Amino acid sequence: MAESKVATAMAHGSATEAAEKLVATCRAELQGCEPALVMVFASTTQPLSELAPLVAASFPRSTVLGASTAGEFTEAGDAKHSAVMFALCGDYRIFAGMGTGLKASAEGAVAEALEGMPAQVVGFPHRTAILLLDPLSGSSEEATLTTAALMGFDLRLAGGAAGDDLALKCTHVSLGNRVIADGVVVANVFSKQPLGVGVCHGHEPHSAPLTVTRAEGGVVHEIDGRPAWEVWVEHTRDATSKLGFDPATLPESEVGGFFLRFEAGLSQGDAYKIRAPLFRTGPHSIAFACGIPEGSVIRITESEPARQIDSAKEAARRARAQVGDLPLAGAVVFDCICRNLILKDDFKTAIAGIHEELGNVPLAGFETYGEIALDAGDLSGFHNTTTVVLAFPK
Amino acid sequence: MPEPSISRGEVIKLLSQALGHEKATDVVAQAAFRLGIRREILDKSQALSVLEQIAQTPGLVGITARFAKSRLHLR
Repeated sequence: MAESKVATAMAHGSATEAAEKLVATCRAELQGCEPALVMVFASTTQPLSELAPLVAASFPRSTVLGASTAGEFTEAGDAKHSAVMFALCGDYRIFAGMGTGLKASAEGAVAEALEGMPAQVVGFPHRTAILLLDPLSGSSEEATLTTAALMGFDLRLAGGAAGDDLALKCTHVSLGNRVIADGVVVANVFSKQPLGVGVCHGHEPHSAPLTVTRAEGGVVHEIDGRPAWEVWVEHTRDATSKLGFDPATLPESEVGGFFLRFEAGLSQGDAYKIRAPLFRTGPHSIAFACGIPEGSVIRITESEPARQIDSAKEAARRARAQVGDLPLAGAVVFDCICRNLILKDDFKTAIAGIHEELGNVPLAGFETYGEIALDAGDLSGFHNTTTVVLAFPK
Repeated sequence: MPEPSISRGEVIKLLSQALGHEKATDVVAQAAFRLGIRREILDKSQALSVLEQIAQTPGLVGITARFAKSRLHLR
């Protein structure tokens, strides 16, 4: 069995400059080995529509996936306005597809992406799916559950929701040289050893329970019978005044950052599932990354910086544990943008913590508008405020 | 062999990861009421009927119920 090898790279500049540097750096690290999987995560400075075709042309025999981002990082550190690459060589069989029209039909988009994909490959007993999607469709949990349902219940699923540097206007995913908004990309990775998927968040409820009283799909119009935006501002006022700003007077360009710091928590009994509000629609309503049914009871959540660092390390430990005693080759990390907003300069400490927990192997990832992690037996796979680590054994 | 039983609480748990505990409790109560199921302990076919009823709902609630139903089938 061939040993797996991972190369990572980060680059700045135009899409052309970034593509050249990413490809050259990873090629040099891989020393002639042709990657089975390449992932590129790019800021809006290197539009994915320009970057992905250049990378795909450089790796014609590889499966090349991509997503636009709200921040990028490798084991060497994090940046904005950059692009990163993760390249994996080894004994894998990878099949990928793309589906469009996610907003209109999550089931239709996922079915399109999975069309013709094999359920098994002889000699490769483990399979893990990577899901990248456009969260602005408002159907992220719907797409995640549908992917798991259609692919079978033994599936381990990991992935992320694309970003756009907090503009919250348009996010993209790519497969090969095709780049789309309002869509999903699914890659089915067949392997000889299990891959590890770990997830953890560090948020806690901050408000009293609030009931969603009027909603359509992923748009919440009223909470406790009042305009949703008004309620969000009111229930975060104490916390935001300590942080030195008033959400009611925020310019539209900063509202996304505010939402991603104060997200909604759904009680699961002993824990909270976090749901991300993304942007305002009209003066009173709030759009989320997935459906928020009327009657849902939410609590506005927030987190202390120290908990964000601990939860990142815990996600890495969980991914590591799933791989067992095998040494790791590297990892892809899908990390909520909220964690960067909370940690600011200490975000690099969180990355260093993940890196250390994984045994100092190469890693690359991006800051997302949502994370995907679902293991056999789980009943929900779309998360917010989390770190998701997808670890590849050597 | 008697059909395995499942509590209403377990059916709620199947949905609460994606919908939250309160919404899951509400949709299970409504579906059970519509089906005339008053008992706290359900047999597997009743639990599947409850999920099937919820699965008719559009959007995330229906998708979650269809997913939970598939999981319950595997038990």
